[in-house]
Amino acid sequence: MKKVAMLLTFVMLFLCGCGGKASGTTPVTDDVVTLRIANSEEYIDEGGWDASETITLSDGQKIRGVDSLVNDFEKWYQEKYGKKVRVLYSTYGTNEDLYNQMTLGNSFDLVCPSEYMIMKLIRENKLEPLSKDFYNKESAYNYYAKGVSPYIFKRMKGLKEGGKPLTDYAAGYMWGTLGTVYNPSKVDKKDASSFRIYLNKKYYKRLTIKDSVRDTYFAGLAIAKEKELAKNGADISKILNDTSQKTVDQVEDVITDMRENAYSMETDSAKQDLVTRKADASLQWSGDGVFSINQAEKDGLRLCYAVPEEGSNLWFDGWVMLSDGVKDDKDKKQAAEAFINYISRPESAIRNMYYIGYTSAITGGDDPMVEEYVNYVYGSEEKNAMDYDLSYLFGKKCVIKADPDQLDRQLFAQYPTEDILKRCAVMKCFSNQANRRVSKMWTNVRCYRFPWEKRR
Amino acid sequence: MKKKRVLPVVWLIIVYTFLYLPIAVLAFYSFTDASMIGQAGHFSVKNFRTLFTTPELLNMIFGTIVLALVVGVLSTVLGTFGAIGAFYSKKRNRNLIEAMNQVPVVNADVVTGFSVCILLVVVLGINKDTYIPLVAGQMALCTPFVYLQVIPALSQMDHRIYEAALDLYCTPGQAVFKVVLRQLAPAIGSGFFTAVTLSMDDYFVTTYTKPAVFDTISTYTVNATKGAQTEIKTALWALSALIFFIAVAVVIAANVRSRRVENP
Repeated sequence: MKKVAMLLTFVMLFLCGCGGKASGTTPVTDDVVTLRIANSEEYIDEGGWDASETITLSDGQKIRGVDSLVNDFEKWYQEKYGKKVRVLYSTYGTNEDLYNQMTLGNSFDLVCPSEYMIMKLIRENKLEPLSKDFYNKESAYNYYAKGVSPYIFKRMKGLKEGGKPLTDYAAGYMWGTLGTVYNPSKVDKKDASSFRIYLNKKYYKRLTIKDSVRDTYFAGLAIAKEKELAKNGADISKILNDTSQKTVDQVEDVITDMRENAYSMETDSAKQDLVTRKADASLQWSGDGVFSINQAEKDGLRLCYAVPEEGSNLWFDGWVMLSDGVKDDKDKKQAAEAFINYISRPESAIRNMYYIGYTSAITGGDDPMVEEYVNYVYGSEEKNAMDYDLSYLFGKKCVIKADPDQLDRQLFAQYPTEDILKRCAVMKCFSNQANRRVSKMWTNVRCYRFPWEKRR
Repeated sequence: MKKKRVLPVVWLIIVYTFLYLPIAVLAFYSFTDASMIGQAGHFSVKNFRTLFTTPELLNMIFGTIVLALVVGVLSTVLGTFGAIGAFYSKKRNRNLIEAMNQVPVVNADVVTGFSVCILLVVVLGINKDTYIPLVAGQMALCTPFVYLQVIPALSQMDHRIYEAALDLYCTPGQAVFKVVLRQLAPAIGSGFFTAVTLSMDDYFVTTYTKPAVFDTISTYTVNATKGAQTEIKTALWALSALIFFIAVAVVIAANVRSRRVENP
């Protein structure tokens, strides 16, 4: 309603003939901090859960998203910091949309892009580093410092841009892998556990791949480089970030064949195609994988998730502050960091995971709540329950007793094991030249290359 | 005689099936609890309930309507007076204005939207939060259509009435408001509705010029279809069905009314 009210105000001003002077921005009084947050669509708990959806953990704690996390944060901030904050929350479709919005006149204070976009923004000097106190575990409200998974933190710290680790700027939000969702009654697990499946004629026109250059390039790269990846002691990260002209040409050939073998190149329809049985296997992000598996289950179809063994993609999205928004504004920066901390509370992390299906970077530290949530969702007391070791991720002993069936399914998609992640690499931000090469390749694949054209 | 009519009828049926089947499928599924098209589901009005109880959706719908009305009124005023002014200008000027009016009509929306964004936001530095780029951009889209509706009515009008009004001691202003505008009322009305429809329909201009926190039905829908959450997505089916029903109702009502006018 606020927005509409503003629109009406604008009309009044315009009709009075002083539209040009109307600054129209939200009335900012001294004691209210306005925080402009942009996040991917449907990437935070928006509340409105039915009472039946309440999560009851083994220690009797109940978690239910009644109001949205953003509204809850506004209340919490006033309670704890004694200051009013007003969040202007907006959403975008892709990282690139966000970047375009930022260049075309929208300004934000806190955004949540993927790792490569964070690197690009660091490179362009657009980010404000997190304050020193942010990682101080002594501070009562520093839920992020206390709760972030040590493993994810380490992987993020290993990513550097201009000599600075990503963790100087970004707080991890969600993370996951790139893998294959498949229908086990039609596809062998062994086939699904390799990117080779996308060239396998056995599944001709029964596969979907992503209509997005970075994801499909990654799959093509892993196929083109499979021999190098299989070598002992191969530097997986280096191989899976190769964008030399020679490699790009090889990948172009591979992707042309993948396209030929695929039922569709999609960004969103694969979940539906799997459930309606138009496709048997599909290249998916782990979180979408969990979602597809859950949806299919409701429809009586069993789907599984596999991470290709030759090496796959590890990605994460993180919160970063934009310097043209929060620079020189202490109150704003404090509110922005408080927001990160608020949504990093174990309870918020659980609400988000339940609502959106992705895996939070928060494992709770000393607080056992997240572990209990994993147990609540996946734990089993059956005799055949198997130990599923997540100690590496939680940074403390954490073994879930899970139904063996889950080891190929939601649990595995949401929480892969350490040996899988060891074979996963983060795909960094391309350099401008590499970007040009890869984009050209993509245009060739999408528009010019016909299957009957000769390979190079 | 009768046999001859079969083929055209069959052809018409094919054409209309092609046009309406997708909408019918969507409308059908909006009354089920299925989360995907093609999935089996049971009858349910859950989608309509979500549509009318989610504040985010209601805000977005209300915002779209307010924006459309605002843009509609402003474009109608601008387009009408533009048309009157151009009509009574010298032939050369009128031709020039006419040609320039064609440009936004022929131009792709995405070009208009992007140009407005570059000019107002990037070059002139107007803040998108003021809604000025949004309203100005949509007006750039809608005004030419109002102009195009008013011009024919002007050329059909009897200009002696205007002169008669002046002879009866009207000021030129009074003559325009009391005489000319009244003659043009039907054309202005249809121009207004065209503008409102165009504004509600527009995606590209809006997406380039809107403030980040404001969404119209079209920009919201494009983003919502990218997310995984199905509750909102299926509620948008209900919204599409509703818009379709309203459009059908309006068309039927208009037809019935015009028929009554024709044969009283």
